[in-house]
This record gives sequence, C-alpha cells and structure tokens, in this order.
Amino acid sequence: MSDPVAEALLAMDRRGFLRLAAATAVVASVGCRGRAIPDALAPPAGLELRVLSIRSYAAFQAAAMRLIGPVGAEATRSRRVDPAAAADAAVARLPELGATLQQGLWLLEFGVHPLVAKWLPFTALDPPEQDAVLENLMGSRWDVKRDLFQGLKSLAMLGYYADPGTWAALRAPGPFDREGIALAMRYELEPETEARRDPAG
Amino acid sequence: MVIGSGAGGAPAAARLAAAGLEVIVLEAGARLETRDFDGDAAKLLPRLMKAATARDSGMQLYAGACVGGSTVVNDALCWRPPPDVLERWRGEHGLTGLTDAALAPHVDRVWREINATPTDRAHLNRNAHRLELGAARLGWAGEAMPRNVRGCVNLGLCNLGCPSGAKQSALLTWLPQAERAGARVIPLARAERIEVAAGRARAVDAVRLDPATGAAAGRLRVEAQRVIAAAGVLETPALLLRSGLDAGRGLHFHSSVYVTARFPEPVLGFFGPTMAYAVTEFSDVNGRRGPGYMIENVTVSPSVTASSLPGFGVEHERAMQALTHLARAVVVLHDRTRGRAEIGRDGRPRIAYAPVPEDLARLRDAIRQVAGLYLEAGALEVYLPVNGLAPVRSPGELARLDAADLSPRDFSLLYAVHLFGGAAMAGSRAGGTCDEDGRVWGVAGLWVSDASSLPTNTGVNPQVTIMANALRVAEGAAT
Repeated sequence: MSDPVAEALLAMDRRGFLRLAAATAVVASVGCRGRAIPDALAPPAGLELRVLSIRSYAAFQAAAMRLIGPVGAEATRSRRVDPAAAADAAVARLPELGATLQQGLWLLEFGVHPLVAKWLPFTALDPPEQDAVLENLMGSRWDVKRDLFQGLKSLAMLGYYADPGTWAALRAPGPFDREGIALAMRYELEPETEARRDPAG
Repeated sequence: MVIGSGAGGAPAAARLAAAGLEVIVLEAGARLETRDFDGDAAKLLPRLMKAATARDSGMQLYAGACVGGSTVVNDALCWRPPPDVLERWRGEHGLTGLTDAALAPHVDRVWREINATPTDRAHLNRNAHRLELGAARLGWAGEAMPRNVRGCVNLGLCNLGCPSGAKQSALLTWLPQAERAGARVIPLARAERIEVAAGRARAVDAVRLDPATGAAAGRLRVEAQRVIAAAGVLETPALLLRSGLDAGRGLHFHSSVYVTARFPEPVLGFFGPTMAYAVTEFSDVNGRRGPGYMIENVTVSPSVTASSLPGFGVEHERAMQALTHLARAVVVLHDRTRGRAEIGRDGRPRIAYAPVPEDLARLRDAIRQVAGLYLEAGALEVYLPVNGLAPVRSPGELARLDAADLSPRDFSLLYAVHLFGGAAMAGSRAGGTCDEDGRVWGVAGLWVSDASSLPTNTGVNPQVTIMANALRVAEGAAT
C-alpha cells in the first residue's frame, strides 16, 4: 500500500481506525438498505439468536463457508451444519467478545475502503470476491483487519469442526472409538512397515 | 480466603484447610465434574476456558476458567522446577531462599498427590512416535514426559476435562482434600477488589455470575484475615491493580506455534494422550544449552487443528481431509520477551505482550527444525504455521520460511497457555509485587500463590512448579 491516505490511516491508533471504519460502514449500510440477505444465509426458522443479529449471522455464515472450504460450504448450505449458530452460542457467555464480534461482522458486511475495498455487502459478493476480501483481511498491514480474520477463522473452524456430524468426512471416528484407539496406540517406530495410504494424493 | 481454584489456588486451599483454618475458595468459573465431560468441544470449551488477546501483537492467550482452573484442561504434563531456573531466580531476582532443597519437599508432595508417573509405551500414540522417530534419526535428545494420571485409557480428551477421570486435576485431588478438611468452594463468584485498610487486607468484594449467561447476578463480600490471590495471570494482576496495588510488570510467556505434517500412513493423532513426548535437544534448562525451546507432540483434534492450519478455503480443507494422517507438534518457546498486565477503564484485564525480534527469530528456527524432523520421519508434506506459505515437501523448500516476513500476526496461530508474572516475587520491593514468601509488599495478610508470582517463565510445562510454590506460600500463610 503506497498511497498517502493509506499511510496516514496506518498511523492511526486502533480506536481511530475503528471509528473511521465504522463510519464508512454506516454510510455503506445506508446505500445497501433494502438489499435482502440471500435465503441460504438467513438463520433457519426457529433459531433464536442470542448475540448475532440476522444480518451479522448471515455475514458470519458467508465468511465461514469460504473459510472452511467447498465440502463444508455445501454442508452448511444444506443446513447439515450451522457454524454461525455455533458461533452465536459460543460467544453468548462472553459479553465482551460478543460485542466485538458484532462490530467486526458489521464492518465485514458493510465496510468499504479502508476496511475491505469493496462496495457491495459481503453477503452479496460472488465467492471469488468474498475470497478476495478474506485474503485482504488475512494479509493486511492493518492489525485490526488481521485480528478480524483470525477471530472469524477460529470461530468458524470451531463451529464447523466441533460438530461431530462433520467428522465422517474426515474419517475421524470421534471419541470413545475403541478400535481406533487400539490402532492409534499400536507401537511401531518404523513407518515403512505400515500400509501406505495417501488420502490426499 | 483463596481467590482461584487452579494450580495456584487449589493446593493453597488444601494446605490452609489442613492447618485448621476456615477456608473459602472463590472461583469465577462454573463447577463441572467428570460426568459432565462428554467430549463435546463446542459445548465444553466456552465453559472450561477463557481467551484473551494481547492488544499489541494479537497473540492469543488461553487459561482455564472453571473450578480446577487450567489443571482441568491441561495436558497432564509434569516437570520438576528446573534447577537452573531456580538458580536464576536466586541470582537475578533476589529469591535467595528458593533453593532446590527448600522447594523439594513441596515438589515431592505435589508429585505424589497428583500421581505424576512416567509415561510408558502403551501411552505413546503414533503422533508421539512420529516425533520420536524423527528425533532418533537426527540424533536429537527427547523423552516421554511424566503425566499426572491414574488408569489413562487413551481417549484423547485431556483438554476437555478427561471423561474417564484418569487425569488427576485439582478437581480430583486438591479440592476434595480441601473440602474434606472443611473448605468451601464457591463457583461463579468473580473477585472484583481486595479491600485494603491500614496496610492490611480486610475483605474481598466479588460478584456472583449467572450460570447461563456469565452476567453479574449479585454481589458478595467476604471478610478475611488472610487473602491468597490465585486467579491466574490473566486475572490476578488485574485484581491487584483494581485494588490500588502495584502489579502488572514482568509478564513472561511460553510463546507457541503448531507445526503439522501429513504422513502416508494413518497417525490417528486424536486418540491417546494429547501430549506425551518432548524433543529436548533445543532446551536451555535442566542442564541443556540450546537456543531455548522444546518440541512436544500435540493432539490432532478436528477443531483445534483446523484453527491452527494456515490459510483457508480449498487448500485448508484438503489438509483437513487428511486428518487421520496428520501429526502435529507444538513449539514451546522459552521467551525473552517481557510484557505487562494492565486494566482498561472498565477495570477488565488488558495484556501487552509483543514478542521481541530474538523470540521471533527463535520461533522461525524452531519451525524449521520441526519441519526438518517430520520430513526425516517420512512426512509427505509439512504445513508451516505462517499464513501465505505453501506446504514444504523437502528440506530445500524450507528456504521459503527463511524468506518470509514473521511478525506476530503472520502466524496462523501464535498463542500461549503458559503465562507467568505480573505479580512477581522479588528480593526487593522495587523488583516485584511480592516478597520471597509470596506476601504482597506493604500489605499484611495478602499473598499471591499462582503463576503470576513466578518471576520468569520456566522453560518447561509449569503445573508442578506452580503447585509446589503454592504449597510453600500457603505454608507460610498458615503460620
């Protein structure tokens, strides 16, 4: 990043950055008013959100689907797993984290330059554009953006992979599987004696 | 009054109760028992642990947040206090009475009470074997670490409380001892302030917390002749600061990163003890003169592995789909960085901890060594814990690690669970918050017995050192 405006922004403290980013998000959200949340990202009927708003639930779900990958995205889209609901439940007992998450998701959804350099709500972007936003957060020189990425990723991964329903795809049999435990504890020092199998190959 | 029920509080409560004192233990977290530990990470983690973020580096900090504290969620690893660390405490921090001989009876008692025992072959899983194999081929020193368990059945759920009751956490050892001697443990009660008047601790003001939401649900005030602060490094310095006392200096962690490798054969690293084997080749304690880090195998549970693998999306998911074939190790760095515990305007804890360049350089070196070890052990590829770096498949590809920027936020996950200092013992008032006996300078009737009273990090997993010091401090407080 080389333009002087960006350099000046980099010198801002965290509070100043958040104020500015929030202001741009408010402006953008006015422009986006009336833009509906895609059905696939809306909370299911009957889900009572404890921390997230409907909009921030959708933003989280959209980010989680890109973060986890295509298999996880399909499981989420078909409602077999709900990372956003899991995140909502996880932060319900952590009031300070809940407020920060809400703020971060608002910025992700509506933030424009300097947060994510986009003009549509995150939930309205195409998947490659969403990936570009997440890449931008992950590699940013701004600490706030990297912290937002780290927080979203941690919650998304916890929400998805802590659900035992996701383990079958990993061939992880889960706790209390006696056969698996016995195999894992069979002592051998030379891996060459093992039957070789490369699941990713 | 003991504030906190973990490694620093529970042994102190047991010792004080055994001395015939009326003991109340305040614990901010909930009380869960073995029957509650069903392996459900999504449900249990928010009830067992708390997280904080260093405000200046984004480093993630984790601690136990339940009755029993970190002993409920740790990996049951036991190391005696390294003699060279104690020597440093005597020489550089003026703790002249903290000799090996003075601490030994307390260490021996801890070792017995929590049943620290050598880890045999039946409790080294394939994840540990991969580390052992690579170390053996490279000629590096390593050893299986003692663990505080009775009848471990290898479930791989040490970090979720241990459903079999094998891990001898404070929930099963010190706290029942204390309660049998008359102590009362009050969960969901967060100490807000220690009242000090005329140079003496008089009482503790606390809030009762709603079990469902964690929100404040009432107030509690306990008058006490003796107060022992043992709420952990994330809370004890903040509690002292809220009470108008001098605290916060000299935070010292073990910075940690994970390195993950994919093997051609199944590893099934989510079963068996979550940690058990350490490469000690690069340690700088217990007589070793390495650069100052240990490498320990660590569980490959789905959610934690996913959070720590670099990047996201297709490539990340590809790595996760090989979960059964992943091995994973954690670098435990003996940090040189010094941080500070503070409180915000709302009185809540804030941590400043920005790893110094020397520590970042040693982390880079450690990652390189672990990756080399795994490749030597036959790994197909190694996932480096740095966002934006592709997996390496040969030692030559490690050059991309050397070329990478490494600020704290470049890591996929830079974290610490071994936290020290912030209310340290020192030989003079200018050097720390407490004297050599854990007594807060200038305040009668107030001691600190948890890891915040330790003047430096230990270079090894610290629960035994913390417990032994807590027994020593409580012995002084009981007289």
